Amino acid sequence: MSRSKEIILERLKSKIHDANQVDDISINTLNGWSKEEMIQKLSEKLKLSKAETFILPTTKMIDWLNEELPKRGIKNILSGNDIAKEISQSLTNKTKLIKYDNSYESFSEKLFNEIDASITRTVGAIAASGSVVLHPTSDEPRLMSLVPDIHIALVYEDHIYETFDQIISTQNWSENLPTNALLISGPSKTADIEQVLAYGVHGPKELIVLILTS
Amino acid sequence: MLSFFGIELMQQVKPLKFRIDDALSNEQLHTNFRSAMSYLIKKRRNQFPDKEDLKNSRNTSSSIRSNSLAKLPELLIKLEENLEKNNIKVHWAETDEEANNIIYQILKEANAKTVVKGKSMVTEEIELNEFLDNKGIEILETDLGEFLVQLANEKPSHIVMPAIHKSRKEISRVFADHFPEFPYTENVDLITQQARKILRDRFRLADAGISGVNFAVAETGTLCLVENEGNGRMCTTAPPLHIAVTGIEKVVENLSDVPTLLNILTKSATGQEITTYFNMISSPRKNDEKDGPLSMHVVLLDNGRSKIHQNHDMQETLKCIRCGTCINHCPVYTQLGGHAYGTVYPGPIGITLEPQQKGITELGDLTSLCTLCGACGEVCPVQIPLPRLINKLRSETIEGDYMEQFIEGVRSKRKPIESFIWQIWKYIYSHSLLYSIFIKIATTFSFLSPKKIGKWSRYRVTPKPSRHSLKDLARQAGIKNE
Repeated sequence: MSRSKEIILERLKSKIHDANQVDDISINTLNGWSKEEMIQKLSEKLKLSKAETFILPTTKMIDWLNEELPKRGIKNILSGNDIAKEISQSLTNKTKLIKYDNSYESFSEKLFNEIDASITRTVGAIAASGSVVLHPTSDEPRLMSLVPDIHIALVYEDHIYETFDQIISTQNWSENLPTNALLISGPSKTADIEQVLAYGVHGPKELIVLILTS
Repeated sequence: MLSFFGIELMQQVKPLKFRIDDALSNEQLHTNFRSAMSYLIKKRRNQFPDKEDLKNSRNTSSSIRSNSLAKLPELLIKLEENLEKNNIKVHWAETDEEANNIIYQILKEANAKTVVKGKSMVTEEIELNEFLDNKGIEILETDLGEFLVQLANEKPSHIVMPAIHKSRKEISRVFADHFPEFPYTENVDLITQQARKILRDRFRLADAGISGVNFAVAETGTLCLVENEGNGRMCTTAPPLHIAVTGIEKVVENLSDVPTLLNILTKSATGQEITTYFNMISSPRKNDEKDGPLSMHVVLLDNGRSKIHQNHDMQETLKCIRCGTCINHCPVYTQLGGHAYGTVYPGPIGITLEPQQKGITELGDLTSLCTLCGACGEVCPVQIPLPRLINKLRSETIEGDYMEQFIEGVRSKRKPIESFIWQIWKYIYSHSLLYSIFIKIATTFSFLSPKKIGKWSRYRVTPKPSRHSLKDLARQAGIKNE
């Protein structure tokens, strides 16, 4: 044990008085929103933080991509293998599919300078706060949702939770947290200059959430 | 000297009295702070429409933090175990100097020359930037506000909004001076985009990233970071090495404690339902992963905290989650701004924490920067009884006793003449005959009382003893023994 650790712990343990009385820690209650209400809340909250949301059937996703990506000037899109498998056949040649297929060290220049947009899955979304929840993987690494100017996140309607508490307990996070877990609620922003809101500081300038229904 | 971007660091420290005079006579500063504080107060209020919900949320948050403090030693050991299990190396630092040296050694061993830093008050506390700069390591602030403050060669004036003291014009000037390659602009969007361009390659090529921590979860060995810009995620994800620095009090027991604290933190701090990013890091890059830091370190900093923890009457200081809402609601801070305090943490939490850390001899006078209005205690999301703590500390500066074992300089602000006058006062007021004589003299000769009492009466009406004592007036009004 390091000397400092010893000193610090000794002091903390040698507290002269009893520990503070701790009240019961109450658990937040849920509203029991229906699926439709969840979708509506999520979409409202996301819009408030300047994210765009689209509610569409899963089968129409590819049509949305083919229509919207060229319209938005997105010439290439970064995706993981899983999504690539689903869309590569049907994506028109107006948009090039790029994969994060190397380690960051050899991919970083391309990632920072050549990618227009990224598309990732999510492990769910939180309706109350308007957040999409990501557990990055080797297929969809951490920086995919941060570096490109536009981030498109896919949320399945069945994976919308009311609160952060609920997703943590339902998905049993305390037993299986990934290396990095993220709540994303809108595009990157700042109010550091005279409290004026400005978007797209260091992260994506746009967050687009596709809520996919069955 | 911080030399990149032509920054040179010079700090001149004037005595508190003069810093206050400077602050009060600076109109621009007043305007900036008053508008910023009203904005933050209003935004916070809008987030808590239901008083009952706010009360419950504050109760729960307070309990979570009290629980952390009650179990602090065991939680820290558990946190260390779980972090190490997750392949994150843990270091313990008793002092700021030790923390700086640990960080320097880690950087040196990794041969790291350039560091990008996410916003972190604890690294301000240990003056890490100056330390690394002197060792020849380039350390760059990346939060927009912190970046601007660093460019201007200043210190943050608020713990959440570091550049709150600067107007848009001043910021535009600083930017134009450092980056002549960009056209001068006062457009906030354009300045923001310029900062994005400037910093992007810095993130990509930095040898290391340094961050603070908002909550450290003992149960899972997870570091949680709250931010809006994405620079925090950049600093903790892109460089091959990530070092997180945290005060030992930031630990929470369970992952299930996090949502409540996150919720009340963002609402209290910036009046946001939630920030853009909530980043939970539990491990460096694993073998099958493609990005994330290759190695991670956590520095657990004491720097006086364990002594505060021992001091039962002041322990609640450590419940603080650094949201800054006490600062936003403090009338003294709104008048003075952050710099006049001369400390890292300004406002109510600053005048409570800093004298305990650095001693009353050096910082005891800060406790007088309080009107005892009580606003800080009413808004604190974790129910720290700040007014009581400030009052307690204030009395320790003059007449404390047992706190000597925890705080340096107890009683060091005692002035013999002042104490003598109060002793006489006490004597008169506790002897009824003397008191009657004194009142008689004071009411009869009230016309002799001075018209001006120095600076005190510059903006106030000078008090004058009444011709009739309260006791007489009451008797005349027919009130008896009430």
